[in-house]
Amino acid sequence: MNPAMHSRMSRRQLLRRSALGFGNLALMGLMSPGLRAGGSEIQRNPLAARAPLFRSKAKRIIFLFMHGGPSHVDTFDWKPRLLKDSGKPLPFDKPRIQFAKTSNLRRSPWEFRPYGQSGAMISDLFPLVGARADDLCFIKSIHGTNEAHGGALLKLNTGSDTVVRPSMGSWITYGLGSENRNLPGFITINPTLGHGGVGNWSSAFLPAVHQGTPIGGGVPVDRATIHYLHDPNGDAKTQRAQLDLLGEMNRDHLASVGTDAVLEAQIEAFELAFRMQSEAPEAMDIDRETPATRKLYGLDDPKTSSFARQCLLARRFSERGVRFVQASHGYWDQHSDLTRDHGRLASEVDRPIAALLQDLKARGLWDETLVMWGGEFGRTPTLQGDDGRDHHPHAFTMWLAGGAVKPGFSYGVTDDYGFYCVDQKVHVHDLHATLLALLGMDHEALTYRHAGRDFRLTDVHGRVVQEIFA
Amino acid sequence: MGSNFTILSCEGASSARVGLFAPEGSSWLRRVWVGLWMLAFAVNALFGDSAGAGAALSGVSSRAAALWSMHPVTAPPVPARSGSEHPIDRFIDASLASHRLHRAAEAERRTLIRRVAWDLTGLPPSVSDVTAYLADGSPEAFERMVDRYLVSPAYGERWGRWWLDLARYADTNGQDENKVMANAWRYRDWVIRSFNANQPYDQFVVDQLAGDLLDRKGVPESQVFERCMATGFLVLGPKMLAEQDKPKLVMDMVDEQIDVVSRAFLGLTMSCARCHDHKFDPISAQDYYAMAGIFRSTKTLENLAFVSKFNERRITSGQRMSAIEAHKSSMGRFQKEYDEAVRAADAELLREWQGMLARELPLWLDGSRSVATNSLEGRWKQWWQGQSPTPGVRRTLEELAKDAAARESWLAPLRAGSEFKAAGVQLASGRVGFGFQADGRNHINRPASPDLEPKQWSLQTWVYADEFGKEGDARRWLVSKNDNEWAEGHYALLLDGKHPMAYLNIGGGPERVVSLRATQAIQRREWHQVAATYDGKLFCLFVDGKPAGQVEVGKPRVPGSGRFSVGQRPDGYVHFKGRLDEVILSDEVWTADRVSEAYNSPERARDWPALLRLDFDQLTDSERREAEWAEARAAVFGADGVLAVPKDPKPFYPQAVRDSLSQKDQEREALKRQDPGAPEFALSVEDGTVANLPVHIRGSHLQLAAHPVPRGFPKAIRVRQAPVIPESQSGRLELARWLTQPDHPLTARVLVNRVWQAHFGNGLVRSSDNFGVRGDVPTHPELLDWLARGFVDSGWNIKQLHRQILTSATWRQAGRIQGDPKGIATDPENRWLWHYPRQRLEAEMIRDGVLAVSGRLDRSMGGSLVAWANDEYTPEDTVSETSRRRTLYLPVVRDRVYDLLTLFDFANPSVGVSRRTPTVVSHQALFWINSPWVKDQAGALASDVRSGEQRTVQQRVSLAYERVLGRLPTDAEQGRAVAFLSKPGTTATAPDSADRWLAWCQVLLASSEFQYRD
Repeated sequence: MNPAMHSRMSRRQLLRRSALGFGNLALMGLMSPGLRAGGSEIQRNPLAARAPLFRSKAKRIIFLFMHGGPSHVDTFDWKPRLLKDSGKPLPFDKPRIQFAKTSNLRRSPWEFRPYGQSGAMISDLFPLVGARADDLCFIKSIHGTNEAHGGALLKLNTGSDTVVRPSMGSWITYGLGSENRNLPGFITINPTLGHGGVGNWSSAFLPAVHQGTPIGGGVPVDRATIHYLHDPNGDAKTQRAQLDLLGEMNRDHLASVGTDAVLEAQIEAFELAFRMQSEAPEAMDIDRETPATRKLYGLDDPKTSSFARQCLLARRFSERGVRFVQASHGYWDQHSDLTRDHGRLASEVDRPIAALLQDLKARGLWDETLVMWGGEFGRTPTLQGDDGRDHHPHAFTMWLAGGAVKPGFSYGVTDDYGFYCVDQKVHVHDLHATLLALLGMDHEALTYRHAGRDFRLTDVHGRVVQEIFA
Repeated sequence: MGSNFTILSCEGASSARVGLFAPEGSSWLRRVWVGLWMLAFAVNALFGDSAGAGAALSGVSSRAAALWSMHPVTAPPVPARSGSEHPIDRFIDASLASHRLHRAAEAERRTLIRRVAWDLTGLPPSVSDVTAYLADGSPEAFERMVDRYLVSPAYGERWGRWWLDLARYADTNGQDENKVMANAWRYRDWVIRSFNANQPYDQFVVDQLAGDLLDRKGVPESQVFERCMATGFLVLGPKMLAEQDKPKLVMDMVDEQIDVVSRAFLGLTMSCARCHDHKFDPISAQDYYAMAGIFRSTKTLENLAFVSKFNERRITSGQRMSAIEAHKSSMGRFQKEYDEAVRAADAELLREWQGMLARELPLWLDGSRSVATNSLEGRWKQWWQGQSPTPGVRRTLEELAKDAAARESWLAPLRAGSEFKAAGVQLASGRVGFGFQADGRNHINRPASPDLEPKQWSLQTWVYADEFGKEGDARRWLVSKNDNEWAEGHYALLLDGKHPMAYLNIGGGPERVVSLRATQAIQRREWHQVAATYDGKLFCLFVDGKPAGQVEVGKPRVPGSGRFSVGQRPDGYVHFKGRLDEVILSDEVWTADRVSEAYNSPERARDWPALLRLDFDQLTDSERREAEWAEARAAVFGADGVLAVPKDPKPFYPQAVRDSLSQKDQEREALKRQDPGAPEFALSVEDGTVANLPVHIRGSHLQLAAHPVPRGFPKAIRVRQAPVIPESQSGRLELARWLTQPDHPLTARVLVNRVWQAHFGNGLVRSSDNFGVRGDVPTHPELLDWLARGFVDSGWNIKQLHRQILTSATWRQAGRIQGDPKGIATDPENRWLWHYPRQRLEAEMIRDGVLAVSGRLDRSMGGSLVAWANDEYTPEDTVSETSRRRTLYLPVVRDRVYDLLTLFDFANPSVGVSRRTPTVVSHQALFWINSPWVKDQAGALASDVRSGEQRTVQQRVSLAYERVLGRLPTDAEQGRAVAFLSKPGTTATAPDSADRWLAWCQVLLASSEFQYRD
């Protein structure tokens, strides 16, 4: 689909329709002159769900973002030669630009063992995720362009590490809308406040309705909520009376000016806000989960409870039709003490992630949901300091899971040490193109006209990795 | 001018002259004129650039010819009178007529003053302003009212903020390293002053691009500084400060500058041409790099450090600077004198105590004397009877007590002014006799020798730790050989925090390290034995005579070739702090019993065979005495010694010294009060290394074309007299002069269009930051040119332009859509302006407006609310939520913009924004109903209308309506309000209570009537 094709005509149609009283508009970036999405339902509600161009299994994404950059050679990219040649110098040139100096090759402190029918080699950091290896679809040849956190995060989330661009969650809700009209279409749980901050979930020039709604960030996850969702006085009766009076005033105002679609939208927005006040807390009410589920995710274990909560929230939002949910965990930036801290971090997420995969299957959400795991880059197979690895955007691993991708499959190859990609390379732009395609969209057609140009998530790049499609 | 029109009007005829032929008032002729105008583009599109000096028709130049905005600004005739004398109305009415539409009637006066106040000051009119305006029945009342708002200082705040959108103003860097730009506000305040002073727009442009390069001769210093502040415009952009590819960082920054400059002044996006000729617009890659050369020759970053720093210049006057320097040096002088006095007093104090000790030591060691605890002797007694003095120190002092002459010699080195330690190795009481005192810097090395590389061995040390490494700190090496733990043959005893460890490396490399770590911790300042044995297979660790771990090693150890170190790792790192004693390396493998024996009787182990033994007791008598004395001196007068000068020595000084020091303290405070403060800095550029740049192929700084492009301006945009860039300067000044040439086809058009957009919601060119091929064509091309030309002729006078627009009947017409029933059908987007376009308030107007009507707005101007240190990482913004200052003074934190502002579509401060996009989202509604901030302001409004003289509920309701909505309530509204406020059970709050009023005022603030300019 190309929302940009239907430019001014549809807006005109909209206003005509509104003028005839078809208003009753919901959540919107309605005034936006840039809103060029086609179809009258979308005109009334830019978050209205819509069918993609291609048939697709996946309808939603859950992105488990490991902030800081987990080491690919210590998790999912098994390199026996690294074990053998550990301590020796890298037998080829290091990249022109490096974040910091590293020394010789260094083996993983963790053992790798084969899992499942597919025999995927996974390190002892992820035994429970490993047990679900036959559900995973690895891409071991992801590469980016930026060696610093800020740039790499922005690149991964928006496709650009130089200029401000909409994030992939925003593009996806822009393309597909949301399936729940009482919840935002794009939610980011416990987002990263530094390293690009809001830039990582911003809608940039897309209508504001596509901006990610942050839940938490800078507060413990169990206290995280949507801003302004709760009446600080908790006085529902007064609030209802206020909204009734406000509705009357606003309708009077509308009548006094004739017709105005925007003012109609304003009226509806208050009613919607009132509904969201009841629906969103319900969606976030983890206490409704059964003891078995709590146990499965590790919600009551202090080590795993934080990420368990995030994964549960992600599932609950997904279940309710939220299009793109991101759950962030960190801080995987082990320039030193890799052994201790990668160990600790993995132990915080291994159980919740495995539980999420199992739970999605059990609830019949597997086919429609695409789970993605990864960080902004990997880490150097060479050693930094006495127990660390540096940032490594030149080759790293992400994995996808869900009915839309091949299970127990691995794509892309790095060299003997996991330093560079050697075959089936997948740039971050290619990953974006592939994600859109998995959701049934054409990354070259999903465009938005801004400042005289049609912008895309993939800019002028992007290759769809068809080989991983189920 | 007009070369593109030669085809139409013969040699030399200008477009202006074509215009003059069109008789005023004749509508068909006018239409012909417009037709010709359009035809000119078409013809040029077909035949290309006739002024191109015979050059072949290139894609870029033919596109320029086809693009309306590249043509010179024309001087179109004003159409016939149309029921309004006003030229703007005559243009607008002519196009309305051709679309069979009619202008709406004039809006109500209450509505008009509201519009004018919001548009010009960003604030609602006060109740008294409204009353005064309504009372003024003269024909000039409207003009007078507009003029009043134009001279209000709030005008500069509203329109300054309007410009700051384009300047992507922010107080922090954003991007990867969100650092504070604590001096950015000086640029902001300069913009406000500039608007309030109605600085001509051409000068405004020149100052921002090249204020630093303007002639300084005869210019007051303060104005030179103002111009430096103006160039902050070029520094404000977000930068990837931690980008490690520094040439890329610089070119990305240049790109950002080109982007902001081309958008703000040219209404074009040139950035596409970084990688290739612009796909649609007549901008080539050559043009881009000609411009890039200008900014590459400009210094925008102070340094290219790992995290680079933006450029700043000092803007402190010479006079003030000398005052600052003078104050600094007198403070320095004073402090030096002061420190000298304290030093002298301390020395005197020590001398006195030393003398006292020399005289009275025998008495002080007499435990039977009773002494006051707070006296010096009391302090001594407490120490002496405690655990601190080691046996060695006790022995030494007891001996000294017997011999007055020895005491004098013992104190002599101190009196000579130094030295607590003996010459050579630093010694202190050991486990047996003396031990080695490691202070975190010193160590003992033994050179490499095959003797120290036995096939099997035992290694022991006693350790007395002064401090332990914290969690996460490096480990501390005690005794070890061969470089470090990754080195072939390394063996070591060390501490990991409080836990003894042993290392053995077999084969070399990090993964060949064999380590043993004791689970038990050792105690600080107690002697412990740590030992390890290796028999070629089994590697064992012992602590205090007991096994603490063992491991079987696969292969035999290969000898290393490094040195043996005590107190550090042999490669010179990770020093230990504390004492070591009885270091033994033996080629016998000690059994557990043997280790235990060495623990229980360390003296006995001295007789066992060893390859290396360091017991620190092989001293001559005089060495021994000097070592003992040194330890005792350190224990008594050292930094932690019992008679060291205390942290607060003042109470011990003689009265005269105390008096003199407190006198000095007062003088210092007085001096501090005269502190003229730190010098001021402003974000500012300056010229750097001047150079031309070659085209970067596909935008990569690693792939350069062969020849540099001379610095210059886009070729397709023509002015008659383009300035020439001197070789020795960046060319910024010439760029600014080029932009502000009176015949520049874009600068004035882009500006008047933006001002129009700010008053009408949309520009005459709706894509106000894209006057290129993919942008919109003007709805009223003649009006655009008429305004642009008039603007330049008026001396680039922006206030004059506002006056012109606001006094038009077009702007003053009513917003009611039913004005013309045909309009809804034929022009639902209101392109032809058949009614006033309703506009939502902008984020600042919402916040400032709410604060204003609730009586809480702090109108003080200028200055910084950024209390954070310059160039530090941005802390959380705690200012915005509580401040009552106008919104434009709140810190603009990139990537963490205050959420109230984000919610109402504040301009993204990371990119130049030409037009904000108002949205209606339910989150705004959540804000109005749930935000504590809204409730606070509603509460303030409620208490205001309820306070004061006795008023009826109805009167209070009316007062609130006047303040918030600028009008009185209708009877129906009055009835509803009273019902809400006084009916029991309407809400959970009591009738007529403060809470009930708060709830009602909140509704008023949340109403759409308040939030829209009707």
